[in-house]
Amino acid sequence: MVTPSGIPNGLDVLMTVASCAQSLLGPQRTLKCIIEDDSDPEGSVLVSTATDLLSNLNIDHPVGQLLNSACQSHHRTYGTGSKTLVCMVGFLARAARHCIHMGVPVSAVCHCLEEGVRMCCEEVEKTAVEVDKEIHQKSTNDVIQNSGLEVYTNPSLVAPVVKIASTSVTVDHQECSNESDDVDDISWYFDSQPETITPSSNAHNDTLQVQLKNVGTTITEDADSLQKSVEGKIQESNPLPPDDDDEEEDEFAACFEDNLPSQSSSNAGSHDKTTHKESAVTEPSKKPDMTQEGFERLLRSKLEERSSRNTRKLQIRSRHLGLVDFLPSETNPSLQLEDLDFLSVSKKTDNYPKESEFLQAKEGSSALTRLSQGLSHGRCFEMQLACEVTQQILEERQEISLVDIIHTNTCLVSGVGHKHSCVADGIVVKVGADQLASIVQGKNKQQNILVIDGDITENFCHRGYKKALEVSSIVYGARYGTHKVTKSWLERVQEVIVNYDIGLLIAKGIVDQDVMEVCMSMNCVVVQQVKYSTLQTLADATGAIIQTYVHNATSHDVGTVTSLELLELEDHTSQSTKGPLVLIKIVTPERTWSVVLCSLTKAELHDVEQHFWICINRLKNALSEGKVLPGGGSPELTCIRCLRDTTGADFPRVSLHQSTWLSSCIHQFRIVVFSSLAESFEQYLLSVMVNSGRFSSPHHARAELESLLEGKQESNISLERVLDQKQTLKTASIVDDYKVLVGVNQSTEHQMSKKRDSSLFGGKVGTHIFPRPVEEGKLETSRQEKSRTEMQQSSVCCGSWTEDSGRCIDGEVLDCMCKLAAWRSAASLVQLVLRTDTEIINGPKDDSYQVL
Amino acid sequence: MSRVIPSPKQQSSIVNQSLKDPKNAQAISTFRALVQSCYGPTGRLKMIHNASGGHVTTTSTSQTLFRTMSVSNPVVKLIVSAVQSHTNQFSDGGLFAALLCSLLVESCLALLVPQQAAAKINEEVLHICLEYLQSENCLCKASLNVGDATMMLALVRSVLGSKPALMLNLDDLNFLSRLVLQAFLKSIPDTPSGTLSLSDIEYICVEGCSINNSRLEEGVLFETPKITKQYLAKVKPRKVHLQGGTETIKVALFNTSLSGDSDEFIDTAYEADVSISGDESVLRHLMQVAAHLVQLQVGVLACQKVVHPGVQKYLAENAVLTVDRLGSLHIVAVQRLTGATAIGTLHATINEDSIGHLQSVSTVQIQQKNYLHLQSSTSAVTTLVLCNRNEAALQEMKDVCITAHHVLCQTLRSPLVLCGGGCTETHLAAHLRTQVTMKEETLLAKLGCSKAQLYTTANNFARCLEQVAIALEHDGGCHVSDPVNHHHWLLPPWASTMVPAEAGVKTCACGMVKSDEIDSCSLIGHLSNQSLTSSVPEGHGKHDDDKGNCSLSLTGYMDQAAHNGVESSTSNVVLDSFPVKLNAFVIAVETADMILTVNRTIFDKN
Repeated sequence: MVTPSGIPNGLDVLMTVASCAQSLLGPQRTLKCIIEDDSDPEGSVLVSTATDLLSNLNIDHPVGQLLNSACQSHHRTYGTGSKTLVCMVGFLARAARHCIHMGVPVSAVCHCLEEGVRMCCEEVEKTAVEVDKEIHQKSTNDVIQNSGLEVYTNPSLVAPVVKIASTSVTVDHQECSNESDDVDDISWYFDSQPETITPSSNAHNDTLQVQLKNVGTTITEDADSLQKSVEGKIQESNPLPPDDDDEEEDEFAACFEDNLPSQSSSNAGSHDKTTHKESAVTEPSKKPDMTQEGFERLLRSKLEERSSRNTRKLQIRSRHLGLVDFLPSETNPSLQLEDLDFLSVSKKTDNYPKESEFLQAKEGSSALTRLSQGLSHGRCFEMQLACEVTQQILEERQEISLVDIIHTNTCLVSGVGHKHSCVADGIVVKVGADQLASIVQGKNKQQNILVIDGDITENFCHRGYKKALEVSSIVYGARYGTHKVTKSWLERVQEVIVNYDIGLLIAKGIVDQDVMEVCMSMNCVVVQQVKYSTLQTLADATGAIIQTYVHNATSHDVGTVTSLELLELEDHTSQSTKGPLVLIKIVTPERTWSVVLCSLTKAELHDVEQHFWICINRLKNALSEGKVLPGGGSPELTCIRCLRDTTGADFPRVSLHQSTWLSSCIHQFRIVVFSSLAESFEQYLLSVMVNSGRFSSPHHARAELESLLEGKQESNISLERVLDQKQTLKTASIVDDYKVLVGVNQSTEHQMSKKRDSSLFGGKVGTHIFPRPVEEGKLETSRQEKSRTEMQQSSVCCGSWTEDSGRCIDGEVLDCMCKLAAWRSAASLVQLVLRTDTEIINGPKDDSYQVL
Repeated sequence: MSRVIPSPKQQSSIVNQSLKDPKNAQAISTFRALVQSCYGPTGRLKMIHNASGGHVTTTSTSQTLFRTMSVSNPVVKLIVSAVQSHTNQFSDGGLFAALLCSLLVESCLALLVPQQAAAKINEEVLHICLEYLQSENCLCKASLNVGDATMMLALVRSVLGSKPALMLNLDDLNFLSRLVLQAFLKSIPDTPSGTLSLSDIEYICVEGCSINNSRLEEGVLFETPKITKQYLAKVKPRKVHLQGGTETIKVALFNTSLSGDSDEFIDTAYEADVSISGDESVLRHLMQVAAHLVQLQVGVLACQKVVHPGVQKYLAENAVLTVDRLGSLHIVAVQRLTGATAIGTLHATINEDSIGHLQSVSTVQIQQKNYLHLQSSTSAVTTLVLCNRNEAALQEMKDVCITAHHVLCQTLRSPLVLCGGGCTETHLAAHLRTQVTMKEETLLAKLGCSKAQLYTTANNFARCLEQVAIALEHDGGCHVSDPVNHHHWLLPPWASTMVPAEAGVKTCACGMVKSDEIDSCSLIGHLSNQSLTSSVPEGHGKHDDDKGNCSLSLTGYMDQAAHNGVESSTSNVVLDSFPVKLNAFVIAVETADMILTVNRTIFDKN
């Protein structure tokens, strides 16, 4: 029975399903919990990617299933960008529905939608920046030898309070990898007037740096309290004359004091510069030797000085639009002084030079690391691991493809903190703890390896084998002595292991208990339930040939393994108390690598793994395409601008068949469709902005977006200039702004900064450094440029991409080219649903529909 | 003693329905609306799925639609099966046939003319139309020069462009048309012997990349996840030197299972001595077969089903590549490519005659999937790799490419084309009206019906043809035809009283007639516009009574275009294949007549 039912709501279905993924947009970590059944709590799943979300939702409607399959297909191809696809489908569906309601014929909507998206992709592609072709060579030279974790635990100056959302992310944005201009280096404060710089001033600097650094390390533990404390501090600050410093200093000191014990504990755990521990102990009441006034003067003079190299301010940015300047020079000067005052307490440390060395090392970090930071989109932890793996792949193979990435083995460990995650040289697998003796026996020795694709059980049959030929055996008379004893299956397996001296047996399926015992007695390590991709990697790397049956193995099928080691994670205590499983690392003659991902909970582990794969896929896409797009909303703004600028009539392409009546009046419809399309990009940006938490309502976000777009249009020429020039010129212009700001009289400045401060921490318009009501004409241009930089920069510092490229990325937020593929797929899906008008259901008769 | 109990049969229940029953009428009307909404390049798509979920098919082509739909109404079932018999032979034109048929049935049932009489009149009208279409003077028919790539491209473009599920813009359409034409040309063997038999083209669908990545590959491609480049480097198939200095790879093709559980064993209980094991005997026999293959110097063993890993290992050690799990889809392609005969038993000697030959074996990676590429120098088998971002569009693309290929094959056999875009239908409708008026007496004498009945039914027939032309457009435009050429014009919704030149429309629907050549036009498809006696419909604009002098012919247009050598003017002309359209037309009218002669439908629930 066929029952057709009209689908007027295909677009509505797309919008509804896509709206589920809308809150995932943006840099903050959000998790969604999908509950299978109220009665079964075990059936619930935590997801944070659009692919997982759609695959776990049971969508009955065929249009929803189409969206799911489009998302899965995109994920299979690119490995990233699914959120963009799903959300853009929703926004484009809304735009299409709007056009239909306006009376535009369906064919015209489809045609113009495709035209518009194609035009946007072409425009955005023009803004793409080439990835340095020698990136892999540089990467081999400049690999930071420290493990990735250390980078996190030794951040340079940080501003934890201005993090957007969850606490764990705050650590991520502390990367600083400038070449020579270290934005986090505030030594310029003290450079110009050496005579006034006393050791205690140096101490100030040290303290400031160290304090802030330590503050950074405590993010994961104490961010809330710290945030509150600094917040409280800043909010209380009003245009205070310097003589109010004492009180405030005490308050701030009081807040800070609470954190000291935890700082020291974290310091002990997180990095090996133990002297910082000492630095954490601060006595708030101590004052610097320098007088308050002298210090103020020093600072002011420093601010007024124009040093192109050193006047970069510290900027803490979020991945989208969240540009906040924490550096005291930009906030209330009195606050700045108070901070320094407080922080200038006795803590002297000899570590400052070392600190600067570390910073120097960071400045010279590889282009690959910077690329990865730009593509991290708030997931710096996973991106760090991905970057390390990519470096290894590039060193090995000089180029990166999906096949190489698939050969990356991941090992998931739950119950251990995520900071133990690492990249290991070799294949890491889990084995039972009862095999510890065999493992220890085989340490640092060459072993033979046999790889089995299937179970190692007596009854196992290869795939496709339906039924064995059943033959009943008949024994005639007493012939026990005459017939030869056929070996049992177990004996045959044992024979193989003994003959070829197998030290490591890897199976895709389960292994029989008897075989396990036999292997343990012969010091052969057995690994079961290994993925096929890992089997293939192992086979290729060791020279083994994958077998289906153990007893079929010959000497040619056996491979060699360099050594077998017990993998110990950073925290020594955890290994022995791990439980029934231990991690072993198989080192092979050919280079292989594994990523050990750790998390405290199983649910989060899946999330970490998903994001690791997303990060590594982003890197792979960027490197294999050789181009990246400037991120931070820049592609969407480009699209909105070019869609708004294009009028229907002057669009050069007419690609409709000339016999249809649409071809003569398509330009009229084009205007409507293009404006709806621009609206959909705006909606996308607004979702990101609202999700970032920086705007209290969508209206503020909309106002901000409009102002940014207007700003962009007016200062187009200056934008080009900024884009093409080197960093130094750009910083000079920013410095100009500072000059202007500082030159304003104290009260106004305080007012503005107060407003700014409240806006920063009140979650209001936080993307402006300068206040909205532009009293000074001079501030206008700087604001526009600032807007542009805010939009585009979201990591810590601005670095020019490569020294020799003329094109400079003003910041480290980058997008992959697969974003454009996501747009195209979204547009094609919306066109498909737009053209569908009927659903035909095969099945029992349903009187609510028409029956055929 | 055994007992045989037949399955209980339910008592027969007979349902007696008249053709004019509301249920039948509603079903026919729904079916007509369904088919009408799918028809044409701007047609709407349909999503078909099971009530219990499952795969969703999105399509607008009649083949897929009727294959996946399960229809229960007998009248609609009759139409569907008639159309399916047409598409089995011709592939294209199914929607046209279904639409015309259902329009005729629906409209004739609503007429006051008795069904039998209407059926007879329709039959006569059909003869008139066929006579015209098959005559030399038909203005909407032309002979296609098969050697002219431009014209062939135009034909392919018309077939591909009429399927909205592909969502092709003009550039993609041109690209795909060129690819399909190339594939067609490649499928023609170089040295035809006796009757020319064109081989089918193999298709590989690759999802996730743009249409522009589609390409043509010689030989056969199929997905083999385990045979990677590294594997092929380890297991190189043996090459054999033939007389004449050429090298070849011998191929043995099996369509039976070599996995150890052969279908050749009878399903019964076996007894044997304790020293004999069933599995081992079977495996031993398989090894013997493998050894025999090695002895024959075979380089590739291709099996439709599974091959035992032990056998694979043995063969790999002896430089024989095993390709198993081909499936019924690819086994035929490999058979045609290699010329091998599929071996169906393991217990007979393998003849040298059943061994095929290959030129090369290699691996290709497409979208990170491994494909095995088999090539032969003697065979004309080609593979078309189709790419699309959208899975639904990709499936449809494959079906449409198969259709286009069949249409091209039909064109080789009978290289005639008709004007597309509904122009043939409107032209035919106008001719019909003229002819009926002219041959009134003869027809009345022959049919034995009244004049009113004749004109009503004939007019209805013409109107149905016009309705088919109108159904090509779904965006609310106006449909007119010019009194001179009777071609179909599509005007904007607000231009119902304008001539095409004023409304900005440059050509008629098929592209043959330019708007500056016509001065007047009239709306089509409305009963009220057509007067019973007048043959020239009243229209707007200047009237041109001298119909005969100015009408253009497709033949003249194509000759002129070929003479001028201007590609752009012919590149946009819409053409329909004559044999396809003719057969569809005949099937539609004959089925409608057959249905109209039915008085009652009787169901038996058993």
